[in-house]
Amino acid sequence: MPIDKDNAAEWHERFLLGRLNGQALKEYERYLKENPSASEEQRQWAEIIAAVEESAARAMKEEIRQQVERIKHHNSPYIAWYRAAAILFFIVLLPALFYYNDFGPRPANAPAPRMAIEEAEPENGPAKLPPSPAADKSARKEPEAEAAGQREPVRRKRSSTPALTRETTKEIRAGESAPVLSPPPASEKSAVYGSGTKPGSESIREQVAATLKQSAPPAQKQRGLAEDVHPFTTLPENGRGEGREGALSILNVESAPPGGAGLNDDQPHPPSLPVVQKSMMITATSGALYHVFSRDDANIAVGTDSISCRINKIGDASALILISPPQAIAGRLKEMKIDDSDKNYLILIFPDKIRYRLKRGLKSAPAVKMP
Amino acid sequence: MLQRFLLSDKEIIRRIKANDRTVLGELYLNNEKTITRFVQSHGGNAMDAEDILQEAIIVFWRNVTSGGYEPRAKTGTYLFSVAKNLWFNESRRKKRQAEPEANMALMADSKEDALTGVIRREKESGLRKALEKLKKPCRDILYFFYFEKRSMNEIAQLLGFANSNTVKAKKYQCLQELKSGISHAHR
Repeated sequence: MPIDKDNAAEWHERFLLGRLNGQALKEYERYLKENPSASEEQRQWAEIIAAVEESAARAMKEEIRQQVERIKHHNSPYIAWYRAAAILFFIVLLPALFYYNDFGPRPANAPAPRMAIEEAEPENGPAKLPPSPAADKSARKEPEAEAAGQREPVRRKRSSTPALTRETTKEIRAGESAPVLSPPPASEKSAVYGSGTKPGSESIREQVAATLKQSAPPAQKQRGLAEDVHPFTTLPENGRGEGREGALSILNVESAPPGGAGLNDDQPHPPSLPVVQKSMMITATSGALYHVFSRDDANIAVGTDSISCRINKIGDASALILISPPQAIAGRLKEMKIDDSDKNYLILIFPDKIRYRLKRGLKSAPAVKMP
Repeated sequence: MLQRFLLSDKEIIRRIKANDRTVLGELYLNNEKTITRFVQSHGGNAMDAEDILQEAIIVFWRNVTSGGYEPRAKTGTYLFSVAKNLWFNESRRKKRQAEPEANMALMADSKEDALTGVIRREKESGLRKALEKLKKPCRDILYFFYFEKRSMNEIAQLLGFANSNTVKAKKYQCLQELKSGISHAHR
């Protein structure tokens, strides 16, 4: 194709883009020599092409930078962490949330929450409950109990202290008529502050009332001094209520010694709770029946001139509690006599003519030693 | 990520010919470590390495689109050799600029005086502005034809034109637009 003014631009382009070779290149060079204005035209084309190339290169560099940023952001370690967190949330936390929170509507006959049951447990023992949907893991570990449709009360952790039974302690005297009562409720036994049970003197009062109703035959009442002193022990849960031999009076609750040996460490008595050691039935001179306890109280010092006493009227009988009496008196409690002939004072007569005077009509008063 | 590692050389070339621009970032990331290490071990910094790698990718892209690329080696090797040459050229240029005697001789040799330089820069600036004002199909045609040196048939295929003659006609229009843009910029 010969070069002329009409197609000169195309020849310039081809030359500048390096598409001319051989004969075509020679022909183009000859054209440039013959036409001086063609050189200026070619220079203009070169400027245009250079500008286009520069602009395109700049655009491409910018494109590379943007893509790299996008890819790096996409593969950012933060993104990986966010993904891991999301996976963790959906796999672990979300099911856990549903597991520990019963979001579903509670039916009308559904049992109360576990904590409420525990707090409202009656004194006669835990209520029988249907299996709860939100059963805890401890309940799952007891398939037998679940199968029986019974729920064990929440048991607190027990120490490895050997069980104290009648056989092991041998503290029940042979031939004595220990009243047979229902086993004490677990909640009573493990009374702690804030557990909703009735610890202390109130509990004792109920125990005395129950004992009086069920034990003490009339013939025994006639005797001046009841000699059924019962040193008792705390039975383990599995030793309670096993027939007559195994049954114990609810009064037969002896606390641990101050050292705490032999007691369940997880269920200590609170320091201010009464520590009943011995009890006996004593008939006063007027024929009134007194159920006498002695107990040690760490908060009250042992006194020789006076003994802190507490009297509770329960039905026909009275419960007389001697708090921290001297050792000599506590050991010979069964020999004590009560003279209630005086209207104002109750005279407690101990062996060796030791007498204490206790003002009547008061629930709590000191028994003062008489000269 | 996996796709980046599995990207074969053939696939890269196919995508470049098909004007798949996403391959640019992948090429950069695939060769970033090697070329950065090379540039930094030869007196450059991270910015130099970034610039050289971008330039090398552009050279590779243009070679592929113009049909000048012959796949004798792996893409990475090719890019590395291009980057190496670019960096050595750049180093030499920097070295020449750093030497005052050579710089003076260079200035003396240069026929371009200050006024001509200003006029040239103004022309370039006007051309750049005129190019930026061009609409997308026009700019693409010019980029494909002058920068990437693609054939008219290829451009017609990529931009969806009926045939190469249509592209030629469109290119002529675009050049006229550009020239008028340059003349407007100079006024």
